[in-house]
Amino acid sequence: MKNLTITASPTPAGPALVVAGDLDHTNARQLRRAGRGAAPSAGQVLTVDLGNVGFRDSSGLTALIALHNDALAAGADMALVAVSASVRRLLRLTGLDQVFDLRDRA
Amino acid sequence: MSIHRRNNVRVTGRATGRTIVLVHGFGCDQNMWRLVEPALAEDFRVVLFDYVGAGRSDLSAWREERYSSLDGYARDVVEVCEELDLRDAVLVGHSVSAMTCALAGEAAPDRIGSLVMVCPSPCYIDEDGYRGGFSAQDIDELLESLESNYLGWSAAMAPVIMGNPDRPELGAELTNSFCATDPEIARVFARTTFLSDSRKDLAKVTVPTLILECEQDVIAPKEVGAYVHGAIPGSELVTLPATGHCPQLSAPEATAAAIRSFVSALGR
Amino acid sequence: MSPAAGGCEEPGTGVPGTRAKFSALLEDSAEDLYESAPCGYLSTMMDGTIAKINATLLGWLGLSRNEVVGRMRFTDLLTVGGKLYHETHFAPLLRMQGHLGGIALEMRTASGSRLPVLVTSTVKKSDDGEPLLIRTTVFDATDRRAYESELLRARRTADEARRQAEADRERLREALAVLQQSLLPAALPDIPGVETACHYHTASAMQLGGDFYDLFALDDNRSAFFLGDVCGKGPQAAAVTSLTRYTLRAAALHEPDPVANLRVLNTVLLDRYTGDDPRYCTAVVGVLERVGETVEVRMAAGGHPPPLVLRADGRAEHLPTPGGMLVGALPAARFVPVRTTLRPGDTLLLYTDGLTEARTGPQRELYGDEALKSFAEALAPAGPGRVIDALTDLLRSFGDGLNDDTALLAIGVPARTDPGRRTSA
Repeated sequence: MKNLTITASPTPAGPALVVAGDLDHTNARQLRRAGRGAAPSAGQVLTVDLGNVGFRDSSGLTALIALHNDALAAGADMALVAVSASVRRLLRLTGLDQVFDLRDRA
Repeated sequence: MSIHRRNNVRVTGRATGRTIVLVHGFGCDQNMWRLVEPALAEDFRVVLFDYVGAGRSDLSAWREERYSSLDGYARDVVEVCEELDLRDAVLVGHSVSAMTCALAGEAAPDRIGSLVMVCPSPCYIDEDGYRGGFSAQDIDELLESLESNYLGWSAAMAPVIMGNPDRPELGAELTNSFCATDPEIARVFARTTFLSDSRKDLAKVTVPTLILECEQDVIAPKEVGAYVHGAIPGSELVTLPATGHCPQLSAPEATAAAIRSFVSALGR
Repeated sequence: MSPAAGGCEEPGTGVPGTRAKFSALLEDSAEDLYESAPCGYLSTMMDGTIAKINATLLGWLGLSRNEVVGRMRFTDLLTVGGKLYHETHFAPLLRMQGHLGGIALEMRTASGSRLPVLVTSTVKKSDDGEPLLIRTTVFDATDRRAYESELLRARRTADEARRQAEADRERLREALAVLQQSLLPAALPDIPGVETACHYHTASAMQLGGDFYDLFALDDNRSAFFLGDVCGKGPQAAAVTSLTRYTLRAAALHEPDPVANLRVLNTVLLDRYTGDDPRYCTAVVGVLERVGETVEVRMAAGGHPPPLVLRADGRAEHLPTPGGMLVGALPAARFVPVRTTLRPGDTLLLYTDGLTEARTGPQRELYGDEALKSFAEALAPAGPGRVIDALTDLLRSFGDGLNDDTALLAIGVPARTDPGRRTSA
């Protein structure tokens, strides 16, 4: 199990989070907090880089849904970047690939 | 689990001789009989065992409900006799086990033909004119003594105490573990022993009975020996030239001689 | 520091003053050491009669030599408890071993107070091995006994706390088991013309699982079923499971349309759990309708692994529902219908992802959809009972690779029992 690290940085298009490590029920709150801290404003896009993330249970998905809800509520949008094949499979199974904006690069 | 393994049953001596079952009391295990066993084994078939909870018995078979009354210990005695299909055996019970053997004799009259009671006491606590020698507080003191000596007892000792037939080097009982028992088990046995009152069971003993007492015994003083003798019709009382509560250790020759002459006089 | 002040110089090497002190020490006779040693000494005959005792011990006990020597036995110095312990443990051990060390006893002093002591005894034997006398050393253990009493008290407190914790844990386990059972049907109902079987694997007895299933009759010809997995675990997940189960049951009775039923559930969950605390589930919902000797199955799925059908001819096929979304996560969620016909000998299998997400083999790889399909193909044709039995064995074989709850529900149409089919099998 790899420790979770989240780094946040501002970009012209909006805040960017780079997440690395394994997400599960013990640490998914960190991602929720980081998203709330990044707080994209109306018209911006919150990008979340998942290039080095493993999902250990459903709590990673829950965090992404919450981030997405927050972004929409603020009039902003959310994009997932560098999504691995296994996370893509999970997003496809749950239908979330139709909801989230999946991009190769930020 | 066979009774053999459960009670660590050992059979020695002359296979054709009359069977004598040596039953240890509270405190230690069948090793209590080590010094009298050779003399008895010359003429008799000698059966030794440990109560469940003592010595190298199977500790996992111990149940508090069963061993909280003397009947539970008596069942061990009867089950050992059944396992070996004994008939007309001589039960030799030390201390509290003198009473256990009396109960066993009542429960299995075919198997048990006579009794030897070594330093018996049917009741340890003074009551209504009866002199057992102790008060209820005294027994609490004993429980405290047990407790303070068990501080050194640890789970690490358990394997040694439980015994390991595959590793005889552990079996050498010449360490303090000879008398060491799981503190829980010892507490129950101590309580059961010293709070028991089997006076009314004495009158039910109908088999030939030998009572052995010591000249000086703090646990079973001579008044108690006389009481037991008076309560069992036709019993024989022998006072051994010994002090303490364990004549089989302090005066093994005299103890063995008394048992031999009693058993030899029984006829076949 | 001057050498003279040290007092612990090597004898003969230092100043004259040191040498004088050392000589004075040599005057300390063995007799004086015996009498005034910082511990008690005592020699007894084999019957316990005291033959010799030192001044230290007499002082502790408040007794005179005349009262003791030749008149008292060792056990006379002990409290009653000590006497009993001596007779049942100490004396036998000493007889057997010839030596005994560090035994805790209590002595009774002349004033009636108690003196906790540690006793060590050795039997002195004659040249031909006859025991002659017992030599005993007695240490004052007052402080140590006080410390031990503290330890004992602490241990009793800890034992009590542990017993309490175990009892609490056991009660919690029982409560959880009862709650868990309340989220599942006690038994599947008998549905004419259909065979069913189910299995529920709980990953942890201390954690409520989030998987659920149900099967119930709608009318004479139709029945409804569902199986799913609520996100998360524990009491919150159980609350979602309960809400989900009763919502789906009510919705199916109201309108036997699987897609509509999932929409109702989606609305209910979104309404109950808002933005910050999304609670959702994946689910397959379906309606069975008997048509002659076959059963028509209409299903809808949201975010759930695809159902599998084991055909009577030995094939196994997934019934994919691509694009079906999590239920309760998104306002405009899409749910995808799928239908199939179960003919005699066909079995429909619904499962949660505990099965396909199990880790297997040395590389701990995902078991996966394809492995499950191959497993089903090897099994087919098979009725619900046999399918669930085989999968239960499979789950067991995963060992600790199976770390999630798993629900299994199999629904089949009994195979025709005509002789021709049997011989061809």
